[in-house]
Amino acid sequence: MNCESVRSWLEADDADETDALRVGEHLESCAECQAFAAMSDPVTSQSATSLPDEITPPADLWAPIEARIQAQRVLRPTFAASTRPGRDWQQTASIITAVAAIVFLAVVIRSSVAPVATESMASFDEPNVESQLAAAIEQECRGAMRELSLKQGGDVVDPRTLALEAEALEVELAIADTRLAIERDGEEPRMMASLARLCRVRLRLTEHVQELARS
Amino acid sequence: MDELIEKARCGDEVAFRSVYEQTSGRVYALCIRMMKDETRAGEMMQDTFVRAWQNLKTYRGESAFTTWLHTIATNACLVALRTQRRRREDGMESEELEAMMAPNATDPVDRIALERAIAALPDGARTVLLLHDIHGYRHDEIAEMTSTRPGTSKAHLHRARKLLREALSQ
Repeated sequence: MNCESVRSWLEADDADETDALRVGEHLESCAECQAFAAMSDPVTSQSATSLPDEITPPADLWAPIEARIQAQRVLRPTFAASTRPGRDWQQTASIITAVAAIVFLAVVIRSSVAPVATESMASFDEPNVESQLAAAIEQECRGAMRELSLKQGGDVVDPRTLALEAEALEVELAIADTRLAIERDGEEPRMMASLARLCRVRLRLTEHVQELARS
Repeated sequence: MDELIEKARCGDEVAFRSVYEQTSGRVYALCIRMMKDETRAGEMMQDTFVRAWQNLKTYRGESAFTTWLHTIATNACLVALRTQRRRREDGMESEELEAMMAPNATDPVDRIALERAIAALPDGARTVLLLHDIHGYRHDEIAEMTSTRPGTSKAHLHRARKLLREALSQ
């Protein structure tokens, strides 16, 4: 990049942010452009510095963090692998399988303590330890899924993984909801059919995961 | 604070909660301005502190603890924003209203306008402006936190201020 294009980038309203690295490289080697970039309206910068650097978070934000930390104590062997860099496809597939299995476990626990756990997955006020654990595990699974998604955001993204990730979470949550509805309302044929259909989808998902692991 | 961090590093959750209470305001200020959405900011807070808990052993005390936390939060937010943008481009997610933080009735109007103008900045420019002008990091620190170069940070800051000036003068 030359001085002209760098300065036009700096002044453009709709500059492409992906060029920022090249602009930065130029600035580091060009004193004139660096001086140009350092110019800014002092009023504007003072305005921004006047904003508070602390904003009190919602009071209930610690509860899900604590729950995820506690769930990690239970799940540590499984999720320890999920934070390592350089995961390959087989590892990714294994994590998805593990997450699916743990969500299934959470479903089983959740079903056993329904309807307490159905009130709110984010609430940890209930004294029922099992429901809290189930909620914490589910929260951890969501976190693991998000982590997986975040990790993919930094790497080359394969749409199959994104699809699998979304599908795994949706299907397991749908199964959980259906089981709870059946437990609450009885074995109504339409709900039983839905459950069977969802279980078939989960089976297909498992097969996809296995295929990915083999590829 | 150092003592609390040391205890937390040894697995003391009560100490970690105290660390959270002392640092969460600064981390949340970054997350809410980055994500422009309370729910998403809450998710990023969760991810930041859970990841910090997981990786406490790797914190060597070479930088301030809040700098370390801000690095985790910044990267989590940037990657989440990239993922969000990609999903929007792919049509996987409907266009969300990028709601600003609910304005506080006691805030002066110009502060609300400023927060809105910052929220409208492009991700890269907004990140650097927040870290530099609000949280007081130097360009070399920002470069390290965001895995870029000091020059890139300067470029983003110049652009952020220019766009902010234009937005506020309208």
